[in-house]
Amino acid sequence: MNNISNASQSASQQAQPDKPDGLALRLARGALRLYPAAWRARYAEEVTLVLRASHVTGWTLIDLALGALDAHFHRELLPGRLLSMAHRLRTSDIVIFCGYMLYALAWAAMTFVRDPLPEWERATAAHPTLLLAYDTMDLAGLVATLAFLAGGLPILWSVIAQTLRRRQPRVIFALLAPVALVVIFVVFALLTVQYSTTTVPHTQNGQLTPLAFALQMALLLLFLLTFVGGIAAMSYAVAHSEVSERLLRYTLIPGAVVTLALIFGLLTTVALSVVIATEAPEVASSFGQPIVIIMMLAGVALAVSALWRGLRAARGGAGA
Amino acid sequence: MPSEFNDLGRFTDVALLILLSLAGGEKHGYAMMEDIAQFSGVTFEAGTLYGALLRLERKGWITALPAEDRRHPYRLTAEGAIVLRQRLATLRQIVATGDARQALA
Repeated sequence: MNNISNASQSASQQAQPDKPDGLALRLARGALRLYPAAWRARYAEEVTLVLRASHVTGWTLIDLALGALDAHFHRELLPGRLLSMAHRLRTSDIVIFCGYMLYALAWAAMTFVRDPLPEWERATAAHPTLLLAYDTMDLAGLVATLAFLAGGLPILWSVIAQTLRRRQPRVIFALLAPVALVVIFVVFALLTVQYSTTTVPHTQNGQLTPLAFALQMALLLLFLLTFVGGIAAMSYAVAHSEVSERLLRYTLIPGAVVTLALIFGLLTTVALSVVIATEAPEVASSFGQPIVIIMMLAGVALAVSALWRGLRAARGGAGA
Repeated sequence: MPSEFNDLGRFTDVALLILLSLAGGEKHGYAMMEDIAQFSGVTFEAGTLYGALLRLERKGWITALPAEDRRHPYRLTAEGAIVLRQRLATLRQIVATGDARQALA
């Protein structure tokens, strides 16, 4: 193999890249103008050097013309579009995914507003707007989840199918990591549940034993690791896979629905917090609203900026 | 993987020759054409070469290195090497089947 390589390199060195342009070469260079701008930006200079070193014939011109047609018919392959279109759309999807996950965590935390349940039921009976705001927030979260699945599952399927076909070890690891983390978390929680809820005997407020406290802290850390690690691993898998431009364009629709639902959910959560603060302050003490709202706000900000970038990429690509 | 190779359409054969050429070391476009002509006797034009290079780059089977004297040398990637090995194994299987059936005929 090395001999072949050396032979070819010496052959190329013998070529004369700077010989004056003849008519055939000028025509060939003219044929390069038939190619799309993105193709010319990447390859034209290189091809010109190849043409100068080669013997340009009529067939060379026909071949270049056919190549130009091919490049126009397969614009999705062109280098500029790879970055500006598929890459940007995929990044947009990944960021919307991260935004949704952050929001979903905050949304799950909002369920604690109903703890303790009798107190919550008394508050909603006295202030029906409280229940209305809570149900609306839940509905927004549900719509966002369904839209997220509508966009995310086809991408996940595409990534899995491609990974199985190509056997990319790192992507396989990235796809398996969230599953492994969830399994570890669940097994740890089940194994320690008996010890992590033990309270010190004869205390009024059910104070946890040191072991129980340590186990609960470990469980919290493990949960955060599972959450952040799972998101990072899935993002890596998608970022290192080729997802078709058509599918990426489609995901902008569920992505837009997710983003709108998150905005609506954030507004209803703020409204819920205001109702709680003004009409049912006894409920407010049971959960950390400011942290929840900050997390939701961060999730919404991520989703909005990613959707905006995705829409711009799609518009720019269509016009390119 | 073979079906992915066949996705290359009319560039399938040229792509295989390019991968084979790059298996022998990094090369720029003209050096590849010379090398391929030398080891296979197959010649093709610049339009065909760069149509195949575009697809191979897009698939991540080859990668362009920083330009040297306005020319980008290309290098076979690890994934490209796997694809090449699998393609050659398929071809060997075809040849073996052909030999066996020819012996029976």
